[in-house]
Amino acid sequence: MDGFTRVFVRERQRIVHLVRRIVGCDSTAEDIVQDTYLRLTDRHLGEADLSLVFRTAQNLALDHLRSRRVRHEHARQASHDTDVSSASPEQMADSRARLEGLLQTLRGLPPRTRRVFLMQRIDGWTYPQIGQALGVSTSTVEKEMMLAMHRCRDFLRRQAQAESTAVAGERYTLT
Amino acid sequence: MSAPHESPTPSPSDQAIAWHVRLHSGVPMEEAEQERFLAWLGEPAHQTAWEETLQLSEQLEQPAHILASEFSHITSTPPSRAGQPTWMAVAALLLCCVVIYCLLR
Repeated sequence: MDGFTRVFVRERQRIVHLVRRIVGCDSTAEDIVQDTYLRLTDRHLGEADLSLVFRTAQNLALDHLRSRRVRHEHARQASHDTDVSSASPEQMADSRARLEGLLQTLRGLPPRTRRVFLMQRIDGWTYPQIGQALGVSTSTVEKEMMLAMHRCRDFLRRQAQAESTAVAGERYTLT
Repeated sequence: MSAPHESPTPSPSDQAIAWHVRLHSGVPMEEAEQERFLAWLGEPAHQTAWEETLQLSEQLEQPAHILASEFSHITSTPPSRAGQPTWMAVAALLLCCVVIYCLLR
């Protein structure tokens, strides 16, 4: 076992933990850590390069987050049929209600906010590019994106609260 | 680019959204800012808020595509990339003119 592999094996759990915190998923974290090892293994690194190992893992995790949207879309399309057939009627109803609610929320956004949201999410434009196209500052674009996210988060919170109230009501009726 | 910690006391969820928006800006983060993000993520409450924001972001994929079709949102090329071929064509044309002029002199 070479010096780098020894250091990597010793620090692996800490690296996984760091990546897991960023990407929020165990299996993805494992993949990224593996990728980190593969990228650095030929560079004859040692104990002194530990910070480079962490930084590489961290950068790969952040890159993953940025590209996650694309991968998620592929996965969603590939698993669409399976999801529909394996979900219970209640789950499907919840899912439909959530989708419809989020759609309503997005439809109700101010026109510029909606446009910024679509330019980023659908076209993949950067904020400076969006700002340039719409004649607004990058900071304004950022604020528009935050507004869209806040509105959708607030909708999901209200929906979760309504669902838990409904479940509590059903329990009360049964007892 | 405004930093996600500027407002007085935003909730962990608001901070998570701010970081998420910042990460997707297309503007690379400086090393210090990345460190700040990781330090922020170190708090358990922030970690929870971050994971919720990642879920929110994923849940927005499908409605975003439906919305794009409803509003006839036309997928287009960003301004800088769209402008590049025009400038390159103009530059090439000017270069050709100069070369031809020099040859004919």
